[in-house]
Amino acid sequence: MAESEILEVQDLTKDFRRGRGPVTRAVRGVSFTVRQGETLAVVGESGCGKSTTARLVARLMQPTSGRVIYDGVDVTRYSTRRMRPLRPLVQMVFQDSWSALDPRMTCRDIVAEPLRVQGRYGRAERGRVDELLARVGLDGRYGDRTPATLSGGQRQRLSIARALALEPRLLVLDEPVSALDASIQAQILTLFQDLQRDLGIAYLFISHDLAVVRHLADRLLVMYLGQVVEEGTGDAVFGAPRHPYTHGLLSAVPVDHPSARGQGPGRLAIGEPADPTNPPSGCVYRTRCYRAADSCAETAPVLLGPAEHREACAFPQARSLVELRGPAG
Amino acid sequence: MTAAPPATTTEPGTGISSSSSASKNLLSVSDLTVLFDTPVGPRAAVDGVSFDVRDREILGLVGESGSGKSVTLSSIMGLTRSDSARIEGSARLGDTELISADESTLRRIRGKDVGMVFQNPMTALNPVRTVGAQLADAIRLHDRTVSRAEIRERSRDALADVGVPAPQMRLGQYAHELSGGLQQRVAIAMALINAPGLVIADEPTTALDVTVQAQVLDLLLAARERGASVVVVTHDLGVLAEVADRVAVMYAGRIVEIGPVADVIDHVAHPYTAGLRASLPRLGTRMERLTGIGGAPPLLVDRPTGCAFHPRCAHTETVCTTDRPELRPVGDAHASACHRWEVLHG
Amino acid sequence: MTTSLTLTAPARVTSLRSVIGSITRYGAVATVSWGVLALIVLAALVAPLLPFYDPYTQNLGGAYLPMFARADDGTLHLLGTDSLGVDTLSQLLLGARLSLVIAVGSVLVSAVIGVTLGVAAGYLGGLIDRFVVVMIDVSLAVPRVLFMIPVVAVLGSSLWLLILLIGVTGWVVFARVVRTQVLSLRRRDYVDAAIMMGSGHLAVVRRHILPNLRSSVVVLASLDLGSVVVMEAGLSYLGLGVQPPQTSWGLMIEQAQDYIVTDPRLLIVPSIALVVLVLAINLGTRPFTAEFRPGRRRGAESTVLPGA
Repeated sequence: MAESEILEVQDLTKDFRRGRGPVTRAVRGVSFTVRQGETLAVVGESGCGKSTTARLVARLMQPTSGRVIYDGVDVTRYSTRRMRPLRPLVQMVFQDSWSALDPRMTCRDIVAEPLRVQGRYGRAERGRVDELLARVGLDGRYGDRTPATLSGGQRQRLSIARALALEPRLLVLDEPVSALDASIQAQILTLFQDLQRDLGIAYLFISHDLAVVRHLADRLLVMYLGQVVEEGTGDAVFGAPRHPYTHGLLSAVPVDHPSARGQGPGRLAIGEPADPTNPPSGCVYRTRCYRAADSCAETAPVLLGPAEHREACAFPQARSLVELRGPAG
Repeated sequence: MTAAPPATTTEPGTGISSSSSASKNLLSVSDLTVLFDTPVGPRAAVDGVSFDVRDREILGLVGESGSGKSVTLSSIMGLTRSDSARIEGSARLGDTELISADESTLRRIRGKDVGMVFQNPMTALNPVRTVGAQLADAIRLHDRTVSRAEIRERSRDALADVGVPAPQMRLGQYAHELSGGLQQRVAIAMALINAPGLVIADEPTTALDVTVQAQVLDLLLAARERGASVVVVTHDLGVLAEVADRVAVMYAGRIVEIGPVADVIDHVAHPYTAGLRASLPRLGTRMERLTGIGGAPPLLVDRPTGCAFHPRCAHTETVCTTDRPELRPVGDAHASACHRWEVLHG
Repeated sequence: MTTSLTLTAPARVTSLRSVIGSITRYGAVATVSWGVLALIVLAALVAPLLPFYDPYTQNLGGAYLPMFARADDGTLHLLGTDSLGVDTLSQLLLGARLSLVIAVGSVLVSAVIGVTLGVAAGYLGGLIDRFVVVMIDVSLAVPRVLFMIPVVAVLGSSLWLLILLIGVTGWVVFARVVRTQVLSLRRRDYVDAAIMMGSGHLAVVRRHILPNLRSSVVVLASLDLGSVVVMEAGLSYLGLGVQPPQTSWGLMIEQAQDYIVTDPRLLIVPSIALVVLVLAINLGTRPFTAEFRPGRRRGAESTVLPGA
């Protein structure tokens, strides 16, 4: 593993089972790395396994198989106690800031909590809490307030301050802006960019919003039914997407200007995701694919090619955004 | 002030005659004000809002939390609880004044003349009744003479129209047996089943994936094709670029800009609209940083004087802090409530 | 011991002042409730020192005296006397002692057991949860008294046994509510955030689960206090509870039932005392429980009143 790789995930698989019901494979054989200071985005529809992947990476969930490696250390089988000194490396920001903040604590206590838990909270760290609040754009007068008195954007800033307290090298961001209003969303995205520039922090950014992913991601994974179907750099994947599912997602994003309406080829992703408890044979995407052939039902395609850009498809086709969305789309 | 029916279709205060085009208005809202009791006295969540919905048009109402866009719609439909709110002004649907209408009139209108689609389909669907039973209710509520066979046929067709696969089978299913996308489609089928002239959709795509969102937007377009007018409330300007004919941008309880969607995008005449657009990342062009808007929308109890947007605006002058700008025409059927809108065009 | 008391005394005065200050902050109803509670507790504490009549002295000549009546020997009985001529007011004050001790003691026992099992079931899930759920179902199916009778029959009746019995059989109320609440609290993202800081599960429970249970446990306890006083009455009637010549409010109510037609005062006096106690507990705890209203959460961000 290269020096700069903070996180490596190998062949991660997670099965869920409710009671004696059938097994649902939420994540199947996902592998990737995140390097120092970069943003890796995971994009896909709800139920594609992107949030489960985030929780596996954050060690909030035990994988069924596969490995999670923090900074060269395989932590897959680590107990709560052994994880403790490694926890500061990877922190997380959640989508729902109501749920992410204990309603009984003050802002200052919330930000101080990680320092206390790690036994780093001394007299010198009092100032550090106010520094962190200021870093995310909350001035000191918010310190004694409770989360309920803050707006959605302010609560998300508070969550970010807490996640920064232990000086992590990777932040797992699980849909961190999708519950926010447009103007606040832009502010938080800009805050993420500033933090990355100033602190050299890496992001694993989970999102269903392709435009936001385009804006923030250096590299991205497109997930469908628990699998990575296409991955590569942002410029490569958005410049010439090759997997029919990526085509489908991109063709569904609303146009920027009314003049682009109806200029594209229409909706390329048919219907809705297949049932993950009973996935289709062969290629899992073939039931919605506009390019599916009979042979797709027989063999499951694997990711092939260089990490800069590769896809799991028997009949890939590089298409431009203009082709998929029309000239002004 | 209550229920003063305007003699003409001129929107008070805007100077924009909406009868400039030949099409007539299905819904006319004028000077709608909704006051809520707050700890510091009554405050206007909706503050003198006027707009028309024309025949066969899709009007988008866009704004952030607290802009009053949802309150506007729910007040028109008589769904704002009256013990906490006082509603003034007028909203005419054809010949019927909705604001002063009694509950039985509203009940007759809801579902028949106006179909409603909500953000969360689970709240629109009854969890303990089958899809078929609920569609049948929606039909029978407004027409008691239809036969069972006809109800079954119309229900099946309504589901097929919104692209629900295997509609016959769905009639016997319950909401929880359907995926989120199918639930929203069934909810839309129910809203459209009596072929209402007006469809009101409150954040219909907010909780949905982009693929399902595209399908729902297509359904709204299809409803318009069949002759309905549609009002879409959303916080997502991108959704409106996709489907709306005209947009009304709301901020702090007032319409700050209204006009054809292409004009509002190409010749933006309010700094808030400009900021909202600059807040949205684009697929096509990757920007280094989003310029966006600083600060946050004001609280209902703490609205700024003058123009409510002035504390967040880059073009603020003294007049903005003292005088509240009214909607004034800035182009053909395009109006803006900004003292300094010309700066944006300079 | 004495020195430490004198040393801490000034601090107690200020803290008492701030306690009173924080109580009056919650409005007139709560203030009055706390005043009434304080009065009842104080009366119960000092009852043996007050210049009342010995409640154990019978005076058959002065039986069934109405309120404000004087006995033959000229003594005034403010609330009258009972069938044996015992002064009702004295009985009421002494009865408060036992009633309060039993109620508070057994509710504490119930709460500790119930919260522990509820948290364990809700947080850990799995086999432990299934075990607790079965225990809850069994406890709900078997009447509490049915469990108590054989135990008392074998061990004999005593105050401590009574507290323990009522307490041990009363955990279900707490466990059921706490378990469901923990099931939802455990799924909050701040629990995950705490785990990501490196917190152990005990720390998570202590810091994030228990504090968020406080208000519902206080509500349950205040409701339970009333029913326990009544239950103690029922047990006394069966001969399992407080035994004469000792007395409690429950026992007074039970004994008064024989005279419900001839002298309803004997029933009404302890009943009113009981109602006042339960009401004061419920109204007094309301300000502390009202702060946790689930409806307020999302409401703060509604379109009508956006958050600050």
